[in-house]
Amino acid sequence: MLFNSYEFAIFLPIVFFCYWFVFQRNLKLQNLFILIVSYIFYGWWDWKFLLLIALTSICSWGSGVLVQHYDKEEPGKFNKRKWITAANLILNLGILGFFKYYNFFVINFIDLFASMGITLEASTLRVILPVGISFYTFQALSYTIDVYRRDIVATKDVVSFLAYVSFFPQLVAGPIERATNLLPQFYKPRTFNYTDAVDGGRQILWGLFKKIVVADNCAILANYIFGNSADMPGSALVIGAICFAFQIYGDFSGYSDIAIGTGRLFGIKLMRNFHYPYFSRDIAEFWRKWHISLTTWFRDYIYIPLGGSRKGKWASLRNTMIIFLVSGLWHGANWTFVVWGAFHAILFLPLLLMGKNRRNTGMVAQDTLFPSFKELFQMVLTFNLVLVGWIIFRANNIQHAWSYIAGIFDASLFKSPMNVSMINDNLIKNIVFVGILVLVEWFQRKREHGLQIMGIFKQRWVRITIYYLVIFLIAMVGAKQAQFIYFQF
Amino acid sequence: MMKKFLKQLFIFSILPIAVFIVTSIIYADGFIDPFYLRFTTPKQENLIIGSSRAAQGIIPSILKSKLKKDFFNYSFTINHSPYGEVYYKSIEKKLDKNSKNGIYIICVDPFGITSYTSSDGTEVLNTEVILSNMNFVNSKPNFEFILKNSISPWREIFRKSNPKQKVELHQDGWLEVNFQWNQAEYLKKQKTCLEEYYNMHTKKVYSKNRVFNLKKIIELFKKHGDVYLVRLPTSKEMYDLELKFMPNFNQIISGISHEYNVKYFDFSLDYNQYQTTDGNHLYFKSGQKLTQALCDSIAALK
Repeated sequence: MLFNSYEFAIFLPIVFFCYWFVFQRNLKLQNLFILIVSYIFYGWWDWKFLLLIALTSICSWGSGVLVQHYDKEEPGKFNKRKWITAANLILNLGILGFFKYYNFFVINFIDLFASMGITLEASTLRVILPVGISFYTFQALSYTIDVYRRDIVATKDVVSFLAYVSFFPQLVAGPIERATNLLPQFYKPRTFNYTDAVDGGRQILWGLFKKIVVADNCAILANYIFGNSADMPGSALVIGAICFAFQIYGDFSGYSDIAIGTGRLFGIKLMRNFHYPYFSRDIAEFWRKWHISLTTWFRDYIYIPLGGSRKGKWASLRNTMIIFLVSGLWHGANWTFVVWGAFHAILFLPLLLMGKNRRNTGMVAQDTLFPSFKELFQMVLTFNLVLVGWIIFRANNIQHAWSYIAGIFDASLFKSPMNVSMINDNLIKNIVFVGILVLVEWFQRKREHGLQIMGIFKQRWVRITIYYLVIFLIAMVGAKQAQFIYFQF
Repeated sequence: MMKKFLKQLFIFSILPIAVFIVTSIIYADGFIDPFYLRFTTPKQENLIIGSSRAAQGIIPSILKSKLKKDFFNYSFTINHSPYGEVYYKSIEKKLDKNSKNGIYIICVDPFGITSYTSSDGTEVLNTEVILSNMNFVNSKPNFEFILKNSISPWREIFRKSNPKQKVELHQDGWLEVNFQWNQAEYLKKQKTCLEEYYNMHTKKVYSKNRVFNLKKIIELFKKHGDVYLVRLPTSKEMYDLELKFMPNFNQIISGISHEYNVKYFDFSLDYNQYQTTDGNHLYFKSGQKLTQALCDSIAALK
């Protein structure tokens, strides 16, 4: 079920009503209800894959219970806690690996051996990638590791745990929640908070604007230009890259806004996933603000266990490189994602070496309306570097990425892109929509989302007019309904 | 607090919902897409069914003037309405069961009785979009269609005729595609269309299931009147492709025609007499001519 579909528009009010009016008095029933509706939400896409999410959830819950059971056991030769945790990690990563990477590794092994003159006979399978598998697997893994580390007490309440893994607003595209944040919220009764619910509604509206108006319109040009990049002048290729940058941002951060806003309607607080990343002044800041739930996941569960920055500079560099490469691979079974991760690592490592990776931790233009020239220059430079990364990310393969980038640095960079009829038809409106997004987010950069306007416009009628205006834009200038990009990850 | 929230949400929602309903009632017409109006008319006594060839090529108003009956064209496209369970069930909903002396024109072509196959060789059936998700096919305005089939963005609801190429679905179900025909444009479109059908012919296989459902449709119609099987003309190139794809197609249809004692009019060899827009669909003027010829053929039997 897509957030931007009529099914969800009917599903959400029904769930909201039953949640607060039918099941509120009994926490267990309310959690069970969340679980059932989350499975309906997921099963709407393909019910067969419910078995997979149930398997992942039950194994992780069971391993947690067992690890807790052996908690007080004296450490001996056979550390049961460790082995149970390892078994669950292998199972979950095995499922993820099979569905996501099986064909990728088989094909690459065959190619590798073929390059050495050895012909291997191996068959690939037609594996369908279950929607959101990377998201819910990582969420289950977070619990398993936290229980092992004793950061959280394992729960015996299977319903709460299953609801934690499958909570429908963030099930298929995040934010990837931590057990320490989300699971305890299922233990205690939720109370309806008017202010939170209203702001949640605004956040949903803003998310829909980002998805339907910005991302889906940018997608038209981005898809066309990337699909025909060999015939495009350099100037058009630049437009294609910028459109993709705003497509993926509008799409993914829009989804996160809708997920967080929906969670707030149910009295559940989800973690922030984006913090205006395109206003970053360097790559390190960009990674603190882009897909925060994944970045911090890698930090907490890979980077720090590997030693983080405690074991000297070189170990820190190695660990950073590892998490960027793994982060790339997390996005999918394609070398473009791995190279994209490596590209960002290369941009990040000099900052780490010079100890400048944490110099921009505050907000840009903290006390002023506009950025200084230096800040503006830093933001533009960072955005351009990110743009190169997006070309690699979006390209069909490495050769395509290379030819795309080479095509930009060509005399045709100075040719008018308006000769391409698709650009001529769509460019102005895309500039307007992206312009609205950038301006609103710039002025709202101290707040959680673009429509958090309670403190700005005191008169209610002004706020309501703005909400109607956003709805009008979604209805009238939004593009055709398209699936969220991150569903495929 | 909850009461206040619900009250405010309700008041806030009134305007967008009212605008949605009012604009749907006033503006949803034959310009918004090639399907909507087919689901907004009452149940029908005389039907034309088939793919987009029939949707554009058979004009109900001409049949009406000659045969003195109100016809409705309930044809979609080769992807939306190949003969199958989905189309059968939709036709059942559209057909007036009280009809006694109806006339039913069933347009046939090789691709309408074929299916894609999955990697394990099984037929891909009942996945036809739109028809498979429409429960209500006779209501005006049809909110089910508007919601499920995503008139998105909403500005599409205000879409009017394009001066260069008029595409209008008429109240009687005829899809009028009206533009100034020219050779260069035709050749370009035909090339694209032939490539598409060639691609289809490499992936699709003859389907017993679809033929079974075609027969069920004939049986259904025969309870309510006279049934005619019609094969519409295409360009010579398309005809050749179809011949290569399914050389025994005419034998199959002739067999069905004998089995159910219904007349089969085959216009496929008349490709020199009719002009198409893309090798596949009849140009509207040729559609008029073909419908006249079909009327004459039916009238001659009466």
